[in-house]
Parts: sequence; structure tokens; C-alpha cells
Amino acid sequence: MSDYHTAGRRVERDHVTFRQQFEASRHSQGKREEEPRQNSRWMRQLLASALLFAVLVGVKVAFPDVAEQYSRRARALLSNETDFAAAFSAVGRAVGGEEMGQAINDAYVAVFGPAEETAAVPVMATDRTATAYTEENIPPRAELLQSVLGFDYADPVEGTLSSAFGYRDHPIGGEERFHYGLDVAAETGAIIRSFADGTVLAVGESSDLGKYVEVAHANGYATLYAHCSKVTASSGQSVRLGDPIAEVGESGEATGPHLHFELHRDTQYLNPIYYVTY
Amino acid sequence: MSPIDLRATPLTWLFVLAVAVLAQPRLTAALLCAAALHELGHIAVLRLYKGTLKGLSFTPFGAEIRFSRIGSYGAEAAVTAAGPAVNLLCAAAFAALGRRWDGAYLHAGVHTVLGLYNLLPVRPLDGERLMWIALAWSLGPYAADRICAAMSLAVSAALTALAGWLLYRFGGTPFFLLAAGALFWRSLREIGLVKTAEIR
Repeated sequence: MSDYHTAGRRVERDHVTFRQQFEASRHSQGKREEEPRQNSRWMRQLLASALLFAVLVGVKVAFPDVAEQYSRRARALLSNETDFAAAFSAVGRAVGGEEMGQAINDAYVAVFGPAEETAAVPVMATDRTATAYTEENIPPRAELLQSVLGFDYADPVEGTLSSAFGYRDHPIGGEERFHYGLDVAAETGAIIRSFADGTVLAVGESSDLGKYVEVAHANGYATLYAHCSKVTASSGQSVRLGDPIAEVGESGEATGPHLHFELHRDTQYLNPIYYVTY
Repeated sequence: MSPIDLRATPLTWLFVLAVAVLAQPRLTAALLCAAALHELGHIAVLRLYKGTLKGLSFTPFGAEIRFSRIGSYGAEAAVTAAGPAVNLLCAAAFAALGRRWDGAYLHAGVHTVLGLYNLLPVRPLDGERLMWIALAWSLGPYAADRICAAMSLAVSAALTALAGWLLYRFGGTPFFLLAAGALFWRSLREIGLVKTAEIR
């Protein structure tokens, strides 16, 4: 009876010399006596691992700060910010046949992080203060990191980026304020299209935002389109990705025709720059 | 029946420890669950052919089962194919479940990756074993050994180069390079270019 893994190699022995065969048989005779020794080696390995584990747990209990610091460093070194669970989930969604292209993109983002050009944007927005944004100096409801949206999306309007997400001197008041969206300069009347599939949550008008429309998407996300000249969608309407919902204008507090575009997740403001191509 | 022989390499313990410490618990659970179902797939078909399970080896590449020969190449191929087949079936099932429960997509992804990874024609993965059986059946085991060793070496070297290039070009995690490098190292050892203590 031959072993699964040696099935192939047994045949090789037919081609080897007598001397090798002699040695091989002597080796296999020795193996029988080795069995208990191999068992004890296995036990020793198990013991060593258990000991190592106990030491690690001990360190974690006795010096939680030190353990956390090293654990974070090891995690950073090995995963390098890779969200493996998100990557696997994206593969799963691709298998499910939902949003194939998007799922591949999500897996890419989860493994390699956001594309280089877009990753540079938050830094560009800080050029006036020359300090990077950290958790401390951004408003609590603003989120700078890229998330995996889990649905298809597209640019809401054709135009050029005129103001990024982050602190800026307000174009009208002059004082420094956090800008919770992107401004895309475009001609008055240019068609604004829904960023993704969803339901029109609200159509309204305010002194600040002018005529605006908000669309709710999957997974708690929503988008806001402000300063419109005209909103063509109505509240409660279902929209598909790319459906026209409004037209560019300069209603509200605006210095020229542009779209003010915000991306929300529940109560948080996300940086939309990762999901558009301006 | 003699007790099942359990073996593990020291590297395995390190690997398990690293995963337990570093990965999110739900990912660790999904990985363990997929690996267990994979091995159960092998064992179920082995039982079907009245084969005897001789041992389980835990390596960083996953668990490997060792069993007594069960006669035909066909039977051996069925046992070998059962593991990845279970993973791919589970992937489809979890993906279908994903519309109801979002967490199912994680399981679908893990099963897909594990199933496809195991079909790579690199020793000691199931894909190589299937290729070996096909070659042994058509050309004989001697040629099959040679071709499979060469294929293992070539594929694992190519994967290592690809992972290295991806890391250099895009950054991200060094995990793929480590995994591919380990397979390459194993292939070198297989053909005797690198000598290490026998771990079995």
C-alpha cells in the first residue's frame, strides 16, 4: 500500500541504482522506529506554540499599550492598509454577478488603496495651511478616507473642478470654512445626472444652497446637487444612474454657474473626489 | 482503525498565530470555515470510494490530507477535485444568498479565492495533483512527476515575479509576494535545489 504523496515517487525508484535502493530501504526501516520520536516532536511544537501564545496574551494583559503599539505596527507592515475582508467581499459580489466592473474596482481599491492621483487630492486641498488633515483638525462629520460604495456610479455633470473638499476661504464671506463637497464649474443649463441608482429624497431651495436635489442610494449613501437653475426630478421619484435630474445654475450663494456636489453616508460627509473623474 | 496522524510545520503555527492576531475575526472565521469545508469535501468523496484517511498535515498553504491509495486514477481525481468543487459550489450558494444577507459576499469571496487558488498547477495544491493524475494516466507517472515539477516551478516563479511587480508598481500589501514566494520556495525544495529538514 503506497502513500498518496509518494505514489509518483515510488515509480521513480525503478530507475535508480541499487545503492540508492539499498539506502532507501534502510531509510524506510529506520522510519518505523522514528514514529514515536516524530510524535514527541509534534508535541514539542505544539507546546512551543502554546507557550508563545501564552506569552503574547500575557504581554497583552500586562502591558496593553505596548502590545497595542506592536500589534498595530505588525498589522500595518503586513496588510499595509489592505482591507482583506472588503477585498474578499468584492470578489464575492463579482461572483454574485452584481456590478462586475464595480466589484473589480472595489477589490482593487481594497488591496492597493485608492489610485495615486486621487489620493493626492486631500494634500492639495491643504496647501494653504501646509499641514495634513488629521482626525483632530477636520470637522467631526467630515470623512476623508475612501470607502467602498458597493454600487455603480458616474460623474454627475461634465465640467471642471473649481473647488475641492476641505478647508478654504469662502468665496463670498472670505473667512476660512470647511467645504463639504466638490464644486464643478459648468455652463448654465448643463444637464446634471444622477450619480447612481436611487430615489429622490428631497427637492428644495435654500438661501445658501439655492435650488437643490438630494438622491438616496444603496447602503446609506446619498448625494446632494446644489445651486441648480432648475430641478427636473420630483421628490420620491426613482432614478437610474445617469438619469437627468437638474440643470446647472448659480442659485443661492454662488459666484458663477457651478454644481456643488456632496456625498453623504448616513450623517457623514465623504470626500466625493474618489468617485469622480475631474 | 489506526488513529489519524496529525502533522504540522512550525511555520504553520506562526501563520495561524499571525492570522488570528492580524485579521478581522469575521474574516478568520470565514477562512477557517472555507478551509474546513474544502477538506470535508475531500474526505466525503474518499469515504464514498471506501478509502482510508491516513493523516492530516497543516501547512501554511492549507491542510493536506493523506490517504491510502483507492485504486483508479479516476477515483483519486474525484477525491482531489472534491475540495475545490465544494468551495466553488459554496461560492455560488453564498453569492446567491448575498441579496438577502450582505455578509454572505465575504464567504462567497473567500470560497472563490480558496477554490481557484487550490486549482493552481503548483505542488502541493489540488490543481497540480489533478494535472499529475491526468499526465500519469496518459504518459505514465515518471513523465508526470517531471512535467509537474517543472510546471510547479514555472508557475510559482511567474506568480512570485507578478506579485513582486505588483508590489513595486502599485504598493499595497506584501502578502501576495510572501504567499507566492513560499510556493516558489516549496517548488525549489521539491526538486532538491534547496535542502531543508524533512518536516513530515
